[in-house]
Amino acid sequence: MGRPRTAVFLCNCGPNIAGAIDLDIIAGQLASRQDVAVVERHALLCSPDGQQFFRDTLQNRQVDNVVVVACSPKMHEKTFQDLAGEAGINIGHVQMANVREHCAWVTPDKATATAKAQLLINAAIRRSLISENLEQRSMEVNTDVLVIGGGLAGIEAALTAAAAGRKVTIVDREISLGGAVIKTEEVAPSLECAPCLLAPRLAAVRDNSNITVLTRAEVTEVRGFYGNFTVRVRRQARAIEPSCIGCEACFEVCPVTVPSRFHLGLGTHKAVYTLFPGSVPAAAAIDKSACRHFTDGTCNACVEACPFGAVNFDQPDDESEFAVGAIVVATGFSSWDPRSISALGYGTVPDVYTLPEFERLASSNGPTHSEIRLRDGRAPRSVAVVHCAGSLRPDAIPYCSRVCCLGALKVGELVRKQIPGATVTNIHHDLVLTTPREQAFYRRQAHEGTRFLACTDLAAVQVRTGDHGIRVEGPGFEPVEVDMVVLATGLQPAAGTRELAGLLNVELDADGFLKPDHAVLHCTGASLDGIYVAGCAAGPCDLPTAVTQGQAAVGDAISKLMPGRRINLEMMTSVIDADLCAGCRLCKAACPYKAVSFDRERKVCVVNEAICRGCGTCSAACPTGASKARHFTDAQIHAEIGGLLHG
Amino acid sequence: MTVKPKVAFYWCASCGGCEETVVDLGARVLDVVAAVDIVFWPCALDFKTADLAALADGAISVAFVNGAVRTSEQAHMAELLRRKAACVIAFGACACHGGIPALANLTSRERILQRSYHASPTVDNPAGTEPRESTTIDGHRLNLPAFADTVHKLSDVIAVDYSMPGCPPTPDNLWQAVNLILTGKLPPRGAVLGSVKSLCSSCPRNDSRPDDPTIPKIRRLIDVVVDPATCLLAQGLVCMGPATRDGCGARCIEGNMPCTGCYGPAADVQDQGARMVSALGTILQNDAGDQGTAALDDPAGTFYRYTMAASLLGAERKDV
Repeated sequence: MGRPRTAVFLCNCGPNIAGAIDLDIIAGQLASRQDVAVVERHALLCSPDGQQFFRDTLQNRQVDNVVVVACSPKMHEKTFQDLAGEAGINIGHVQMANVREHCAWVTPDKATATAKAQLLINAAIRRSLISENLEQRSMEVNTDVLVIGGGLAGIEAALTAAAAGRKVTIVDREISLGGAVIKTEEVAPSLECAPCLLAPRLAAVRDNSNITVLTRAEVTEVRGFYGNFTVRVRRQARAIEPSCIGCEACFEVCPVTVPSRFHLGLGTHKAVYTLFPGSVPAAAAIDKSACRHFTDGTCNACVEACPFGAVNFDQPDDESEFAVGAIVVATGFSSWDPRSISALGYGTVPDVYTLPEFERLASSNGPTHSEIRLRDGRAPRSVAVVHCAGSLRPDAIPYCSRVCCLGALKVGELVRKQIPGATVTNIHHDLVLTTPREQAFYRRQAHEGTRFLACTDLAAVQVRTGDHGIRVEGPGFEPVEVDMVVLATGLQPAAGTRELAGLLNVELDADGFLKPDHAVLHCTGASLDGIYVAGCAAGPCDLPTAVTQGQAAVGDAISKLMPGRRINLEMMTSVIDADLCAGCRLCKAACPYKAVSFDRERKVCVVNEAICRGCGTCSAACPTGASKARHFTDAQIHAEIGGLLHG
Repeated sequence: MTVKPKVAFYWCASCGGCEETVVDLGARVLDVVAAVDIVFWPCALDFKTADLAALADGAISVAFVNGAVRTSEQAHMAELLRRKAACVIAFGACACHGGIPALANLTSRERILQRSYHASPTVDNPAGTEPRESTTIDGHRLNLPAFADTVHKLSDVIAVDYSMPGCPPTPDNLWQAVNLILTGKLPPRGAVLGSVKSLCSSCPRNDSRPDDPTIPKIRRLIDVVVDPATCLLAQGLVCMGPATRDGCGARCIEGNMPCTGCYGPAADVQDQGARMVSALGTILQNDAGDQGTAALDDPAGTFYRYTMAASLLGAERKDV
């Protein structure tokens, strides 16, 4: 094989390049170069005529490499790669020299621009001389969807995808679905019963053969990219087989009582439990840290009581791996814990509750079966609601959660309905009510007796034990003494959001919520293609928004993941030379796509080229040079730099 | 009777450790002496430059040259050896990559003279005397070698046939090389006589590296009690092993000390220091910030301890 023959095409780009760079001088110099076989010039190489000329020239002139002296590769690299491909030249041998954006447009003096262009062209030629073939491979997209989080947004996302015939897996940490909404009684401002709202949706999930629900489960690993993710999910055994229908026969015989997380610690459940009757899945679960079979091996009561033989203490934890095309993160939020600001009295003054705790007290599936009660069992005669508890202050939540005001207004509605004559006072600053319906709800509450006290500085509000109850005082209003205080606490990222974002390789915003790909145009897309976000995982939002986002995320995902559609795999993948690899595994740690694995037998790392995105991070990390990024090898980059430095 | 191959040993800018390797062959040195004729070894035997010059060109089979090249005398001897030897082996870190002497490339000739002859607290030099290449006293002329601006690796000065890195190369390395020479099994010219992989490939602690090797910050040896079984890099220490050619037998690691990189870069790497910095960058936690590298008092001396003359960093002033 002789020396590679290189063709150089110069594009005038109308006056864009030809006006700023002396292409005559450049063409003359190129013609005298030993390593350049063909020099051609065209007025506008990307025009139909120019493209024809480009292809025909390559077909007729027997060259190995092509250097296109024109615009940014972002504009037309693919155009000329495809044309070269049609002319039988592998696209790995097409090199752009960007003399428009990098030179003509930014260099006013023509002589300087010409000299600079010469260097850029020289760099491209030197690089092209050691270019290598690139192979185009493709694979069919996976059309399945993973939904992380089985709250309202996740349920709606799953149902939307399943309706389109897609296989969906919902992964939730809890033992059954429903998220935050199932813990509330009535949703404002419509005052629809939340469990009633969700029950048919939960049943639809249960009955949909396209949907698999994995509860007590967490995603532990995600590899791959849009249309081609591999997901690993670890599931904790519930020690109850799916044959359980949730009849609760075991609850009565279980001797162990544990504080209920579902009731936010305000109530208890047995060591074998469901969150609420009619949950999906219906099966109970055993809290192994409390159950006497697991703690001291002394109890077998539930096994004997179960009419279905569903108790299985030996059920193993399991870990499964499956492929999906897109992932919707709908992990919701956690409520801010007011213990960190002692002035709010939470945890020290009895009968100071957070808004979610109040919701549990008012809920039919709550610890008091919807009776709003003080800790001593009495019904409160007076309730104060403190707005913005912990919000809009740098030491707690610096932002407004925009949904707590509405929840705070609901307290009056629920209290008055149950306890005639009880007074409710809302201590507030701003009132964030963003729709006409919400504003009408506010007017109705005011009309029906909720007292509104405007505080001039909510950060200065003090809640402490008073002479006749709990005293709430602060700037701008007369102190009140009440039986019960409800703190309208804001919304924070759910526990584990940061770790999940790490697994998914997506960015978080300054407050720790998942950052949208674009706040306006692609607000349900996370920062990585194929990962979506819906509901409060993306930041505090109301229920209609959560539903809309769940549906929108899936709509966007499945419109791209059409059955039968193929995606081109990255051509410029990394390869690891097993002869040079010492098995240090730094590349494995560096790979953001988890495309690198360690072959324990051969003690070398291996790239999975179906997953590799060609980012080159592993090649930068590789301390031995064993990992090479195709099309961007050290030798090629050195050749390019050398060409730039030594005209 | 077959003629025994003629062998020469010489040192340029080096500490003598490489010569020590020859002695450290122990009893095996007798086998070497029996198999070859040592015709030039100023460090151990009484040879003069004139003896070398008197040999026919190409008469020496193999010349082991250790040390970097800075003075005109070193350059002259390297050239002379090149002429007399059919095969020149750059022996040891200094000859291969510049070694410790090449760290002087981080400063200038002037500053070195200033420091050594004037500023150093232990210098007493009221007349401000500096070495000169030529001095005449009482009609007698005294010549000293010229002190160049830059420290070079041997291959910058003469063509080198093989390289044997290490500070110093181990006696086993030398023994293997001698055997290759005696059996005529030397690889193609230009090769490094050693492994192509990095030290991790033979590191006894390789299996102990955690799946997630990220470290919150780089730590100094004096700040930690070093776990004798765990990957040193994973303990936050700068172990140059991942970026260093294998071949030393992991002696430092066995001694619970991190690799300092004396075998130079692995086979396909041009710049060992840059590679290591790049690799470290990927395992330092993202939010490590300045604290992550605060313990790195001397980055150049850490990452380029033995390879400054071969690095992309070049030198403060290069006189090539």
